[in-house]
Amino acid sequence: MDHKTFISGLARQLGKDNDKTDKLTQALTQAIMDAASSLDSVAIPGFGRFDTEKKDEYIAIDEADGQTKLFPPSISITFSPGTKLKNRLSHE
Amino acid sequence: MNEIIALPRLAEIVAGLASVDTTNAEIFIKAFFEHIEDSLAVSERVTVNGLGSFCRTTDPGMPIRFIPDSRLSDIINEPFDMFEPVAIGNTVLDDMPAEEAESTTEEPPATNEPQPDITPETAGEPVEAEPADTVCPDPEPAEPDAEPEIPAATDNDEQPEDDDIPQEYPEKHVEYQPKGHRTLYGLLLLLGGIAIGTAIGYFGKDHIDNALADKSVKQNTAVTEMPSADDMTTPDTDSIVPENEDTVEICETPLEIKKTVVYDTISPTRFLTTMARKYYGKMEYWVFIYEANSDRLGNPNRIKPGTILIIPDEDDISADETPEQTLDRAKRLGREIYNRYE
Repeated sequence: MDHKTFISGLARQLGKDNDKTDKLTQALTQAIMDAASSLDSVAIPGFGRFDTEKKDEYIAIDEADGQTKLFPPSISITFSPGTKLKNRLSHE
Repeated sequence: MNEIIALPRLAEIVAGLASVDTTNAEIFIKAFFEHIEDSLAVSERVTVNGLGSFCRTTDPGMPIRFIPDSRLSDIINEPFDMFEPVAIGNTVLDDMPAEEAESTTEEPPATNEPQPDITPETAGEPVEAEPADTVCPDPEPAEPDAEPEIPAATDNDEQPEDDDIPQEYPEKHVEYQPKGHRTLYGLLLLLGGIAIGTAIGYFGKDHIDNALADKSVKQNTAVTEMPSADDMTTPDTDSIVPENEDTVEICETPLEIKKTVVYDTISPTRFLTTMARKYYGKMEYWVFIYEANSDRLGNPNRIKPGTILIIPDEDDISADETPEQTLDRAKRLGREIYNRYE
């Protein structure tokens, strides 16, 4: 399901138009993005939790050119599904 | 930082961003994630621009997998945009303790997992519906032995089509030289240092000896300078050798000429005869001390205390004579000296 289909279905569920729903979705996405940038976690009851993980710089050999390189740090965002979501999807 | 933002707080933030009240924002958030849940029940994948994709998996323990949107990854990694992989020499790895170096390679970065091909979508662009049978990539590694393809650092800028794929760094695959090589290098460096030190010591020995000899000559010359007449008549403390009592060597030609210079001072209890007994063993030899200092002395019975005298070397006064001959000569010289002041 792509973004447009998802927004349309959500708008119908909320009884709002697509533009308003898309605006709210962008606000929610922005809020999660801001939290992740601050290395904060976002917990949604019944759905799951978005966490961030910071990886420090590290030294490794780049197999592309065989050189030993110092790679910069990075932050990745992960999602841990909640029990309710896991149970539902596991049984369907 | 490292805080957990719960639903009420998230609703406040969304309300502020979307200019709606908190209640409506909270209702929207709940509906948003419930819709994702419902959609996942009927679809394998749900994509939300700016957030990412939720994919169903076949793993019952982890039935859903989240793939963050590339824009989300880019924004949260924005502080590190200025950094790029920097090539360093292998010496860094050689200098690291083996345990530390190995621990560096144990954990690949989270973004290094094989990422699925995500169809790029932007908020303002019309999008096409994905096929209903879209299947999420298998979260499990394809093959344990298969190594993921590592993009070259210079290729990143040349592939704008891959914008939606989160920035990846090559998998850490570090090869180390055996410890034996490092030990061998260290041993070779040590042997080289010893050889250089030996060569310097062997070829530089003469130069060092000459330098030491020059220094000795300068010091001895300074010590043997004669004091001025004023200095010799200056009242001084009790007697005894004013400067180096030990033998002083003068090396005009290095280490061959030796000369002994001894000084002593006349005092109320130390006369010429006392000095003669001390230095030569015979009080009659006072005449040799007197003669050596005759230019500064007058009547031998009226020498002032405090007068500094040069004590001639015993070998100089006896020359090639026998002790008896020297004694006779001293007695004759004593009479001559007294005759000068009668």
